[in-house]
Amino acid sequence: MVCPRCGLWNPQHNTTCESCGASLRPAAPADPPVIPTSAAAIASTLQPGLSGIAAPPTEPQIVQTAPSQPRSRIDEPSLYAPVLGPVNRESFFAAQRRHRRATWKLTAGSAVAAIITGIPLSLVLAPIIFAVVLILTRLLHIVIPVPDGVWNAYRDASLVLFDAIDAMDDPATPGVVEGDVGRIPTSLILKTAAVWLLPGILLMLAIWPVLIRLFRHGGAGGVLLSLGAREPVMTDLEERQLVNVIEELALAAGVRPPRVMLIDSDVTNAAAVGSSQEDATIVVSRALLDDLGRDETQGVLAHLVASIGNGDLRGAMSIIAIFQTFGFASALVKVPISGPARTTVWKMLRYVFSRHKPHERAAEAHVISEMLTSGIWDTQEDDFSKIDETDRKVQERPGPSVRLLLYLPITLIAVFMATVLLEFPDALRRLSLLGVVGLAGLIVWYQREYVAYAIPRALMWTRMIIMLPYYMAATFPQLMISMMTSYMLEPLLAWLWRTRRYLADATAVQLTRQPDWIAKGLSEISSRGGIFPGGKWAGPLFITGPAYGSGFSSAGGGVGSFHPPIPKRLKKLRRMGASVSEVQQSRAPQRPARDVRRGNPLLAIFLTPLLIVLMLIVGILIIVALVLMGALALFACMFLMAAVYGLFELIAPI
Amino acid sequence: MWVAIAVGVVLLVLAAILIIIYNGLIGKRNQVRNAWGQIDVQLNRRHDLIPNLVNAVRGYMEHERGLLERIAEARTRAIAAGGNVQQRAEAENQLTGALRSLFAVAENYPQLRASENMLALQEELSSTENRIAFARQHYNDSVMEYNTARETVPAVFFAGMLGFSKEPLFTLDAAAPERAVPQVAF
Repeated sequence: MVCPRCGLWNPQHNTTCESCGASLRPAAPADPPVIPTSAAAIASTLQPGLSGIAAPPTEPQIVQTAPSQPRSRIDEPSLYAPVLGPVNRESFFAAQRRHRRATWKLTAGSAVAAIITGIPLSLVLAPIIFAVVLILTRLLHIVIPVPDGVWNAYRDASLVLFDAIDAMDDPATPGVVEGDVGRIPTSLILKTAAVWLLPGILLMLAIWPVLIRLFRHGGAGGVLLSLGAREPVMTDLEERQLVNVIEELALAAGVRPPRVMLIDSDVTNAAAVGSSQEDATIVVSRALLDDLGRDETQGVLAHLVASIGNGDLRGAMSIIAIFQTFGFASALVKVPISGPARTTVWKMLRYVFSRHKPHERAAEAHVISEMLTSGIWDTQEDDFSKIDETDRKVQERPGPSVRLLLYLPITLIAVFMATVLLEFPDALRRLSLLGVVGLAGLIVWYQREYVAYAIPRALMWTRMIIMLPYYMAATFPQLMISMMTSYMLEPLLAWLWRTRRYLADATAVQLTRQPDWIAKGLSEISSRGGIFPGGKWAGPLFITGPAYGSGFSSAGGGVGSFHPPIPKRLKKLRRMGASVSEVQQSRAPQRPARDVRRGNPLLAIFLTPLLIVLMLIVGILIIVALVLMGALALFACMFLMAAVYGLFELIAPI
Repeated sequence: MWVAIAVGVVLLVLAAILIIIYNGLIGKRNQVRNAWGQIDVQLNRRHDLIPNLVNAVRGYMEHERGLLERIAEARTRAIAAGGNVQQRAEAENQLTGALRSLFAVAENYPQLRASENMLALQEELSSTENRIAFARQHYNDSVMEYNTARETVPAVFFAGMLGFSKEPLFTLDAAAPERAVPQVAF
């Protein structure tokens, strides 16, 4: 017998509902149903619109009474109206298998996307890694002589991109027609990729697990605990019940019972935080206990326990570590040109080598993680934005113009680069350098009164000019990374995470065997749920979350939501047997409906294709911009790589 | 030469697959055993709670002395049964039934119902009942997973040889009141 108030099925012998205590013995219907007697009357009940045509005028009274019969059984308005189950029923085991397969595919896709996103960074990292390798080999050479083959290989590596460009219109390469840009031979492409992509990608793949381990102390969402979370009070019946509910679920899932913490917040939500199945904590808001009954609490918390059992916490750590890896790599790249990047790297190093107490470490880990991830999107701040400031300081000082002095470094650099690039003979190169240095000395001597004023500005300009290729090489990949992360990687990860939510929902049904519990709980939370204050960046770890603006990287664009919309989750739960209707009804006072102004449908017909075309154009523009930036970055890096080798030959030849 | 390398690689891959499957089966079997142990743990938890319960209600429920004695007796028998699964299951089922009727009767004592102590005890006991049910469910889920892994294709060829025997599902005795088919009438 189905309870008229809450829709729960009860055994026949029950007189009151097991869930809500409502009486199950229905009062006799006030007026016995009137059965239509003629075929015409039946037709008219089925299709009231046709009654005027079908029903003969002799039986109007039957037509009037017939439609009113199915109602009036239930006096109270039903809270969760029982609805017919969907046709495409699915067992929770089947649902889990399906979602698990989907998450495997999405994980593979996300991994590919992450590697593609890493490509621009690996372009900049290549010359840096090359420089480090050169220095290390040179130091090794002092102890054990390194064979010539290695040095030749380094030389080849530094010029491989020039070779590739040469090969494009070299008639000697097969497949190249005179005056036509031909194909590059496969072996050369592989060699170029090995030199330019592999070192950076391997380095980042190596940093990634290190960062996962390093920030384990913070855990996923660890700082939530410092937001005034408290231990449950065991003498309070509701909180005692909460602990029981979670321990029961842990038994059902076969995991170690997670720690339980409470937050006295009036947001109805809960989150699972921690770094792994073994040290998981479930943070519940007190409002959730007050709003939801025992069954509903058990339903929604089953989602969190299922999520812990499925290993989502490790997954969350890995996802956060992807962003951290990109942030750290781009901070490393920007160390020579950006103050904030230097701060980030410095703090990171201090964190690695310091000994803090665990809770301090969690807070520190959070701060650094924030710095790292927001570093991906922060492209504005660098040392050269300070040039204007120095300019102003110089201009405010008294004295004649120091213009001549300012051109000095430019000339110096230009001559030096020209001699290197044009491969002057050694004698000529030294002579020209000597000449320039001599000239510089003379100028400085004549302008010596003003040198003191000009030094800061000249230094800054010198640095900027020296750094210009590096600046280009570092800034464009940074832009590309922020774009690719926002528009490719993050949406994919969000999709993956949403699938993990469905998986956890299906596992939750397996744990409780009661699809209604979680469905009712979700529908209840949906009206009042939110993210705890200060916990926005841990949003994906909550049971429900906002549609936009929540992700593992707080500074991110938040293109995709990390939580599926509740109606969609309810729909999937109904397939597993939940009887919560699609219409969301809640015990909470209904907020006034938004005043939705109906637009003109004709306008929509015209505007929709226009919008699609606009979005297509924007998409194409973004891709073109990415390709252009990539080409520019590659161009800059190409010279950087050659410069590294040239400098090496100049300073420490074998 | 090449043939030898190819054969070696194939053998290595086969050995790796075998190791992975073997370890998977071991993990699943241990999960089954752990789940079985959990049922016992939860049943013992219930035994520990019952003296408290009886003490708490004794003052209020003088008229239900018979019921309280039945509970105490079922508990003693369950503890005494020890490893004898048949007797143990019978006693535990009786205990479940007796506890249910106790809580049904307790509805008639408003003072008792309002007592904070009683509410907490009731929560503890119903939680224990849930835990027993969940532990059984987890045991059965684990058994199903283990048996499926054991009987599906890659493992079925050597699971028997390696000594992975089929584990039984936890089923209630056919005579148990829980299994009685409810009379459905409309």
